[in-house]
Amino acid sequence: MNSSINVSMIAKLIIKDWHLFKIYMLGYALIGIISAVILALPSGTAFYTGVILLITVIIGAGAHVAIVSTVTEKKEYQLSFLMGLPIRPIDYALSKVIGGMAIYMVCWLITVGACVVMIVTTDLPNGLLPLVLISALEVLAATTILLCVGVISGAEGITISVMVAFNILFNLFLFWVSSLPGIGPHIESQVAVFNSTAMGLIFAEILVIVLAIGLTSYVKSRRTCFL
Amino acid sequence: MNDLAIELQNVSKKFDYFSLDNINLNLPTGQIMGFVGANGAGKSTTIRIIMGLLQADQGTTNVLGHTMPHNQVQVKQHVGFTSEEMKLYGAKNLGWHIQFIRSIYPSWDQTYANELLKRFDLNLEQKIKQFSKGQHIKAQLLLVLARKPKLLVLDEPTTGLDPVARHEVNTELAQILNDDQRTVLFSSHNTADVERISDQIAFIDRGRMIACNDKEDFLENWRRIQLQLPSDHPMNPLGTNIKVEQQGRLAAVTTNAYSPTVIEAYQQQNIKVLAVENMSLEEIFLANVEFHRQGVQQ
Repeated sequence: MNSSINVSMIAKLIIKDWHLFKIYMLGYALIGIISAVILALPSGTAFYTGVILLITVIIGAGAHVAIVSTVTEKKEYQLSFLMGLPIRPIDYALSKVIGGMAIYMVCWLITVGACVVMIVTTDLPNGLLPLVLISALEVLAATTILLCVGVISGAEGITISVMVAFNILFNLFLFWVSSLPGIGPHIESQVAVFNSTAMGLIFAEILVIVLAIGLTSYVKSRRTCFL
Repeated sequence: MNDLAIELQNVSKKFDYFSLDNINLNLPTGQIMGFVGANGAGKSTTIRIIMGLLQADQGTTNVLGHTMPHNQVQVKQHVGFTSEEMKLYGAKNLGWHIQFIRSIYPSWDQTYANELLKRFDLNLEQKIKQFSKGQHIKAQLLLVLARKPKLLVLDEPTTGLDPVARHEVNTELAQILNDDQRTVLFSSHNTADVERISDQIAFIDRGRMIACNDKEDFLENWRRIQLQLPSDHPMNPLGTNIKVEQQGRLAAVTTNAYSPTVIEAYQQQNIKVLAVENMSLEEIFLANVEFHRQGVQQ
């Protein structure tokens, strides 16, 4: 049995998905840049409008990639087209999780980068930076888990339920992080404080991402057949 | 070298409400096999096992000399597979799909692809979602044929097409398959489609393989014999009979082992042979299914 991962095919599947999503991701990124600019306008209303737009864009883009590239592809029988290609379930799963993340990160990096640039270069307090990074990484971790759920379950209902749960949890997460003694008091300071609380949260979020990918790879590597 | 492109031995697969039972199927290299069965008979399940998409509970599956599903990557490199449910990406055009498939298969023949484009009358720039169902199937066929596979597996490619589109696809398919030596497994519930292009026919019903033979042998061996009996007593059929229908002194006997000696034997018993009728593949299939279902019930 040939059990090695087909890197060449994984790369081709990722490129294929990039072609399918690039216009959307670049569109979301453009809205992200506009949102970051609005965020920095000298007005409280503009700030909150910018925050809501930023959150909406990065959550929406993640959900778009995760659901369309996994569940919709299966539902619309394009997965049947891919199953006939020289790949195994693990190749497909890795292309979806790693590729989905890579594609999403085009929008994520541009949006988060624009936000960081606006905070650093305008009158906004630099103390916002840890909260922005921790929140953005939470969305990245949620998107990764959503991709993994989509790949493993292939079920529209389950994946959408997980997405809704993450959206609700995000608000609670934001309140919780803001109330932490290591984060909350520094939000309005002029210096970004990356203390042990902030670094711990960032590390934990990255660990969740790695674990989600690892677990999905393990589950899919045990499957010989697609169906 | 193994001269069997597909070899299934005692393959079984059990689901909650359906089971594939002890399937044996041999497809020699260079042959075109029509795989016929009603909806839900087990054609797609068998094909999924052949393609390594589904693991059989029992039995062995060899395709192009490789064990499936373990060697599915090597096998799928040389197999062109399309199925009725398979869909291309609607937002992209055929040219984009060709580039994608071409990047995967080094054997891709662009000259042949261009020829098929003309033959199928397809537009490279047209988005797949703007294709009719017939065009969509032709596009799928182009994508598998131009990679020059050693084995073609076509799972109900013409199902759901209107009669005109089905005729078009079948005509093109028949011409293409005559072009050169190919090994093809072609499943359908439409016997007319299969009869047109196949060398061999396999019948499957309710998860069991009920018959497998050369098409010509099926057509040669199966006959419906119309008889006039000397009396209206129930007749005592001669030879191998699949079905006997009698009304008074008239009887119709369906046999799967026809030879002129059967006629002579009837005549020697003072039975008048009114007609010996050839049977279409559809009639043979239906008689086969009925015979085996009765056998299973008994």
